[in-house]
Amino acid sequence: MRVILPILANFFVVGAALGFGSLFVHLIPKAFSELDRFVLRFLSGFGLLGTILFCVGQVRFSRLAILSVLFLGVFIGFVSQGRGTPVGWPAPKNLRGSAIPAAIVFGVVLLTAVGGLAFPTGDMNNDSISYHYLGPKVWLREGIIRPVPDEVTTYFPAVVETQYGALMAFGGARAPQFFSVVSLATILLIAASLAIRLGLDPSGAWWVAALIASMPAVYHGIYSGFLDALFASFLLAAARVAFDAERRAEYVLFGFFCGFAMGTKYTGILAFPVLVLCAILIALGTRHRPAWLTFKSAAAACVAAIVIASPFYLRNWILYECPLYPPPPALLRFFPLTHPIPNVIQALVKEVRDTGGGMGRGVTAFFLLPLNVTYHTAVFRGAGGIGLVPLALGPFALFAQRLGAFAKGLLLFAALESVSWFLTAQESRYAINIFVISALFGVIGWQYVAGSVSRNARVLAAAAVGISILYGWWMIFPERSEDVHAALSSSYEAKRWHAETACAAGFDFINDEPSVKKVLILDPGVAPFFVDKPYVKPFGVWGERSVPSADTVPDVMAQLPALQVTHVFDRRPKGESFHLPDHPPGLTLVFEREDQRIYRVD
Amino acid sequence: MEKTTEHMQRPAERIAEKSTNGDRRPPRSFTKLLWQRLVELWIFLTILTFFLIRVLGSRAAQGIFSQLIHRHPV
Repeated sequence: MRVILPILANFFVVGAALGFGSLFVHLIPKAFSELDRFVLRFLSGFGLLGTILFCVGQVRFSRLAILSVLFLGVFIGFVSQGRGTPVGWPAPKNLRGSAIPAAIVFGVVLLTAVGGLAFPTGDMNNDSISYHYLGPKVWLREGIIRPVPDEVTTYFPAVVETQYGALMAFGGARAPQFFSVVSLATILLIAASLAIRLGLDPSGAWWVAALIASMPAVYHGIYSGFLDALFASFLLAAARVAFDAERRAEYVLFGFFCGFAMGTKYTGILAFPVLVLCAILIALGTRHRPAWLTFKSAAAACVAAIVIASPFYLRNWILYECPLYPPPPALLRFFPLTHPIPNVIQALVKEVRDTGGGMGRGVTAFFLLPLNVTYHTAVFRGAGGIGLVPLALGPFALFAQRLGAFAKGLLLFAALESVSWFLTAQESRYAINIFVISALFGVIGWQYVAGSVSRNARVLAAAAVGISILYGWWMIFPERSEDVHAALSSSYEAKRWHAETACAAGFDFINDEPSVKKVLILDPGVAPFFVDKPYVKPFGVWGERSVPSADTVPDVMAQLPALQVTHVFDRRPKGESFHLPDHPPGLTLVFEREDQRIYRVD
Repeated sequence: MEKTTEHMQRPAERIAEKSTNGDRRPPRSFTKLLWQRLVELWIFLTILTFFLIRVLGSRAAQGIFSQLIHRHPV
């Protein structure tokens, strides 16, 4: 049961997404292949499902409300099936020459599936524990989608997190972990779709999938709740539609994908104008039609994108005075806050500066990016990099064929996205869409080298591909080995829970002790995701203050009766003392470990 | 038949033959050969650099080297 429910919950959400996706089928260009249609249908449905859950969740985010939305999606899917728009499953055809890459992909998918069944562990340094999973858990408990006051990052757009909420509602905490299989499949399918469009044969598309699945920097954005691969999939789907778009309906679909990207991450706002610019340039350069018609279609795409992303930004604007919350300092001039949060904004800006400038900011650093993302991955949290193929073979793609408009569009998009990434936050996960494009051109370059250069070059190219994949596995498999072990062994999972989760014993006490009704968490470093009961956390890691006019622990303790908590959870950070003195008045110590104390409020 | 004979010639012979025909432009086979060598060199260098930095420079390799040094002090 501990693994069946998470798997079933994932099937339910994917089924609902495919159902909602059938609403977009008539917007997909008729010339698109079965594979294109399937992946675009799933991604559009997935984006719409997340947006609907978010809108419904503003009023009610109960299991019943979620169930109704999911059933609606499944129902729409059945109706469309009956009307002759069946869910086209992209059956693999012509597998000759694809056995090796297919086996590589299968190995990574299997690893992801088994590892995805492990219970999440970690601390506040893990983005999923600190907010991707925390938000949905609190929304389900409160029965409404509202940002968690002690974690400012839960104000971010939430197309994916709302679906984590749906998964948790029916499959528990393991369900969003298992969703990594869907993330992996999605990015591989959209990459295969692009590969076929670029003229690669099915074997080439499989090799693209194998290389991407073996790229540690891509894989890192797929599992443990990270949503970067899905974000990249939305962008690549937008590019897939935009660079071939002719009818206005196709531009509208392109806009929807941009909107879903903006509803997933704030960085979608940066990618949106880049995609629109590329689409306009391609249309002007290749389509023989008046320029005004192109601009009109692009305007339709912009309207569609803004409309589909608006719920996330309007909610923040209406309830918290700025569409982007927490507001970047430049926006404060236009959206002055009644309740300013300068310390939180400063902390976030500092974090972006500290972690996002890994490769340097100069022109030389920019042109050295291809070398650095291949060889010096640690400086941008590269998780092992992107392998060797993009650098070793990618440049030869330019000689492989006379690049068509679609390929030029992808290259322009990758170049502009690289500039945007370089100037903002240089974190490897944020560049997954660029890495996927680099793998596509890597395989095109490989086919060129293998087919028309020399025998030596053919051997060297095959060695580069082999080294890339083996190195990727060397990075990825040990990283997931503990997850796999935990999924297969309950005793190891219990041991790992205590070893890897700060305050695990304290969480066990709070969750198992019936007298604990509501708990006050004093230390910002404690991860409230692991608390299954209502809680108050007055101090967040970014300097959030969730209890009004309480800036210190004594301030909070003075308001203890008003907070209506039954227990107080104190933790001693490394090298410091507990927040409360020994024997605090009005509290009885009921649980103690070296670095944790839990008091009952008398 | 002519094609077969040309194919059997060594690249250097082909270059020599074409370079005596009075054409001032670099012979096509020479540029092709140069291009082949450049492609091979590029891929080889990327692999070599990868091996030096990512494999020999990795923590695991560093650990092995330091163990070897401790076992056989200079």
